[in-house]
Amino acid sequence: MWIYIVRRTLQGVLVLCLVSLTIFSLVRSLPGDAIIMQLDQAAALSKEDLARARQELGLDRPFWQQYGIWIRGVLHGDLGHSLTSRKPVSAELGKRVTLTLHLAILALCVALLIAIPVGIISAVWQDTVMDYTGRLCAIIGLSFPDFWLATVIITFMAIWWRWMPPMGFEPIWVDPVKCLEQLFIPALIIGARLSAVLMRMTRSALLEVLREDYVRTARAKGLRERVIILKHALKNACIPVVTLIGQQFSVLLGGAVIVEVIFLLPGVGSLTLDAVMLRDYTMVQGAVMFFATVMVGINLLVDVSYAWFDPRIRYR
Amino acid sequence: MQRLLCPGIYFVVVAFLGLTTIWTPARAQSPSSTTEQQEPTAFAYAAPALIKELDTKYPFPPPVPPSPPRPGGVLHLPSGVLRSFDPTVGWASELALVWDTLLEWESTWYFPEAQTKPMIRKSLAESWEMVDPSTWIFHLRKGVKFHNVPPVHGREMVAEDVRYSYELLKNKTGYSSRAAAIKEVQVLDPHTVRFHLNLPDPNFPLNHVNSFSPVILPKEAVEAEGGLGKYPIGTGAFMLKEFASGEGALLVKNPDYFMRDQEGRQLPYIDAIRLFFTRDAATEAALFRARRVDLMRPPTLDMLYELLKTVPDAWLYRVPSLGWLNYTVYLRLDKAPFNDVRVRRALSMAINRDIVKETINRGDASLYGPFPWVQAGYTRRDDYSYANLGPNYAYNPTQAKQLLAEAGYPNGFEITLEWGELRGAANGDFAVAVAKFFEDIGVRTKIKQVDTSIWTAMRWGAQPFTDALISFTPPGSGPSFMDWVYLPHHSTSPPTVNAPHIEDAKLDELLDAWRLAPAEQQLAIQKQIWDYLREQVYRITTIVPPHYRVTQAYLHAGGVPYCWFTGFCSYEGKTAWLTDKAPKRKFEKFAQ
Amino acid sequence: MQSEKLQSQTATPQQPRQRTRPRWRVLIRRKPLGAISAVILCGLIATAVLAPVIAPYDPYRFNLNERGLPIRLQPPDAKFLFGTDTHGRDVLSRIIYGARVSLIVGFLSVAIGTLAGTLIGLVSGYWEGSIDQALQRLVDTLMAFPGIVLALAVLSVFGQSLPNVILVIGLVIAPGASRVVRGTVLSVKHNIYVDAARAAGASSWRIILRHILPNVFAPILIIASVWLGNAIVIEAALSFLGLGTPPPTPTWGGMLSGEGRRSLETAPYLAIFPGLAISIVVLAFNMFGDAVRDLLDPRLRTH
Repeated sequence: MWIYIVRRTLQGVLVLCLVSLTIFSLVRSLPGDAIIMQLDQAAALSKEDLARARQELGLDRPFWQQYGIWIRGVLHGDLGHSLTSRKPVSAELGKRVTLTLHLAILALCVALLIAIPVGIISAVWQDTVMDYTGRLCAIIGLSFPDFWLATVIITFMAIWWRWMPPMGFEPIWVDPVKCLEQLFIPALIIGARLSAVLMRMTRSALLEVLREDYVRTARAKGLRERVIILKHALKNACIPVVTLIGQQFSVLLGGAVIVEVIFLLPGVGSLTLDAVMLRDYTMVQGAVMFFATVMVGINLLVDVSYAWFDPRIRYR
Repeated sequence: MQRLLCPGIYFVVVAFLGLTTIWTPARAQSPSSTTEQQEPTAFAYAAPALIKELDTKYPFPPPVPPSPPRPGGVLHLPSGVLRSFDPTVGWASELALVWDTLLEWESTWYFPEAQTKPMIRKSLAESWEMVDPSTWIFHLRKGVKFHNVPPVHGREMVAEDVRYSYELLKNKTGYSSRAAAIKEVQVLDPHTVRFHLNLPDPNFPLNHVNSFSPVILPKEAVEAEGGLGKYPIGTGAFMLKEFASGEGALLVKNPDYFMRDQEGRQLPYIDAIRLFFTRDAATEAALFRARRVDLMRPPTLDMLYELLKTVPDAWLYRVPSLGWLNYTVYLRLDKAPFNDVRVRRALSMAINRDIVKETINRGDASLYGPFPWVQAGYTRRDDYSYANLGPNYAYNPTQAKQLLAEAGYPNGFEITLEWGELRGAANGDFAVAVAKFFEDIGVRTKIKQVDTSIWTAMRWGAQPFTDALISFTPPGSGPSFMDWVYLPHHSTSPPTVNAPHIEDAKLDELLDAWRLAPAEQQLAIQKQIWDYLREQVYRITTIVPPHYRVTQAYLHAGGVPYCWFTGFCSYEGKTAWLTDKAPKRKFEKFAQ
Repeated sequence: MQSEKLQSQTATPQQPRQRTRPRWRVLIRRKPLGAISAVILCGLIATAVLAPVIAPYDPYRFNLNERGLPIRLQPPDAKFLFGTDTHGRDVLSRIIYGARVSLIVGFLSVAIGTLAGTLIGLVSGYWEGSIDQALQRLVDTLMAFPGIVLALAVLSVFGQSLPNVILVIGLVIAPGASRVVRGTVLSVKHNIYVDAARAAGASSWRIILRHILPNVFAPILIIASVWLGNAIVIEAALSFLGLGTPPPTPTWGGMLSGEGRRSLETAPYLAIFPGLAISIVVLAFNMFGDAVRDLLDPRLRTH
């Protein structure tokens, strides 16, 4: 078991290195650079000025030297300084990460709160009206583009109720009411979509489990249906659902980007977007490394939990 | 089952669809001489009725606000996304709330019919005299204090600060073009500075009034650990209390601000300003409706109309624009075919400016020539006509095609038209309309949207565009002829001010003549330059919509009415005041 | 000889020919949603193909009134069934032509993505070892990027155009598809046919094509059916961020994000119709995909 964990961790580290290299080269192939991007509403910069500014930011050094400096910094916990605001990337990222994690977790909670009960009902009362309704709702939930929904909601909320979510983010342990007020609707939008996906998986996983022999045995033994479903079937149905959550996490984080832009939430998603637009290399690198680390971490957890549940995998 | 779903079907479908792409009546074949589509339709031509309605409900000049102004309250303003609040890192118009320049534009200057010569308001400088056109002496206001915050602790601003600031900023983005004119700044005494210029300039004070003039900074704050980013200290009306990156900023009143209003009351009236970084106008509109921001500048009449319908008690200032935000097409003057004046005239004639007015702003816009009408001597709005612009600006696709044929392009040519998003301005629509008009005369146009940052870099000449670029006013233009015409047209100007690069010896001659002429003769030369530029059509200008500024009913501007363009004055913050109907807001931190 | 005999005895029993025809009726009865969605999709394809015939106006034309000015922002009426946009262009015609772009983006990007994914998955799964490890690390790297960021970066580098958008969406789909294929290959690799074929001396590619590939079709089709709807939504999202197909080509995403957003209150129909179009089409793809999956997945078939 431990060997498996170690091996997967090493693979994860390798992936992170590849990601860092990829993003480092990718941003530097983008047309234009950070200096030019700082010119909005600004005036003349001669060629010498541009060259000097680039030198200040270390953009004139050869590729591998820049990469080396950056990686060394990362290993010491220093993600460099933003090319646009000259402030440290880690400070900026830290603030934003809190919001995005809040959003992701809230969305996940919403999704689970909707998906699990509906999935169970749909599976247990299969092929009845309730089942069809549940599946129809799930499919409809998957079909509406979420940015459209977000725009419509935000516009009409302002028109009908003259209300907009409060600005200025505070984490939930500082001001829970305000935090929920601010994040409730975006979390709902993201979560609704996720819940559709999860609900279908819950339903199919549960259906599969309910056909297994041991369930039949349990029924034959006379155990109550509810006990069977909740105690035995659900636990085994969890595995594919957990795997799916792991896979969907990247979709979750990515989907948060657009919602963050529309709702003016200062999260990692909108930060990444702005940073790419402004060619703020260090910021993009920092943000992408964050995403990658989260993804690799979650994959690792999912794989390890998989191995935990299914001993055959451990010995691969 | 396998047969039903064999992959063969899949590939057939894909191939079929691939074929349909090829068999699209290509855009080039789409009909479209606009003259053939005259189908009579009942169309409520809303614009004149709407404009009349606006004129009646929001008369001009606006009523004098009640007096005396009520002190206190927190003002909420939308702004573009600022990445930092630090003049040494980058320029933004909101910085004028915290840092002052030596001079400012007087805010009553907005109406071309009332004012033909821009007026200067004295800020940190009280008076000035010209020793000779290359040497100027400025006398500084006494008793101006920096913010009373460590490490500066509210000490007085002196001439040495001016020298230091100009020295520091002369190489920084945003200020270098203005500072470049100055060879040396000398301190004569604690309240007097002498400027030695590189070139003689009888209009040098105008150099300081542009918002790109260097702001005055305290040395201790810049050289402290963390710099101005950590210690944003200046002489301005407000002090930066909190900068919430990505969200906004909170500024509180500077209790020692030097400026007073006409009755002698100290400015500013309000306690604090909260800036919200918004990325687009739709969100701003939503914020306005929810009374989270107190002021908004809708970029188009459509948006204005929507706002006024849903916030009926809002107040509108609608002011004809001097020329800011006019919709222009830049051309690569160094490339064929744009170096041929016939091609440029043809492209200009291809555009139906009435349709552009209608599409972009429902007809509420003025025609616009090579530079502001008033600078060519036309002071009445009736004068803004096709007749006064000449044939190159009239809609004439037939002659356009003829000109193209004469220039050697009987079958037209192909171009790429680039544009970028700018917080709600109708650039995209303008690009689509222009492309359509060009197509009609045979110039096949491909529209390409680029990142706003790249587009800005192209507008500023820092990055070349391909063939044609949707743009606005020459960047950095203040209300003076120097800013608007001289610098962006003279061949010696750097390409970041003269973009796209115009190199015309005859034009240079005229511009130099203007520069050295005494004030009374300048208008005549300006008119000459106007006529010349109308013929050359270096930049294809079309229309300019008015400025719209919508404010909540509880917001008033002080004795000085208002500032209609934040880039050139900061009065909004300094002279605004809120009635008791304003929402109660706190200002301990940015998050309310 | 012997291997053939072995195969015919143990191969999955095929239905005798004469029963394949009437199955359509059974299918419709069993999966009504799937049948409806299939009809919708056929209608969609027909609309896309026959667009020049069906559309009442040219989607690029500025329709002018008698004064020569564009008929802007007209609400839906007899003349313009879905209204006109800010340039006076007929919305219905733009939606009909928009179907083309959406379908092309959907099908082509999914085709490219699943093809690439299948190839990688096959190679990776069949020849395990270092190739597998290397490819899987590559796949992991791609999957570590959030989709939007990848799309943003790639489109910024290579420029914004319809082919690039298709390729980018394909790039987003490929890693996930490759993982599924690899999993299937790993589980099928050691069944008796493959062993027998290998024993008989068949070359690797022959084995892959004849024995492994057929088993991979079902999961791939399931993935494709899921992603078809998604691809269209991703294209709309990219247009929303300003990265999609440039104007004036009508695309549903572009219509939704451009004017749809700006004039949401005065002209809601500008956003409603493209939004409905996207939703209905994605719905149809999802339902169709569900039906396909239910039919193909033997475990769920038995009820």
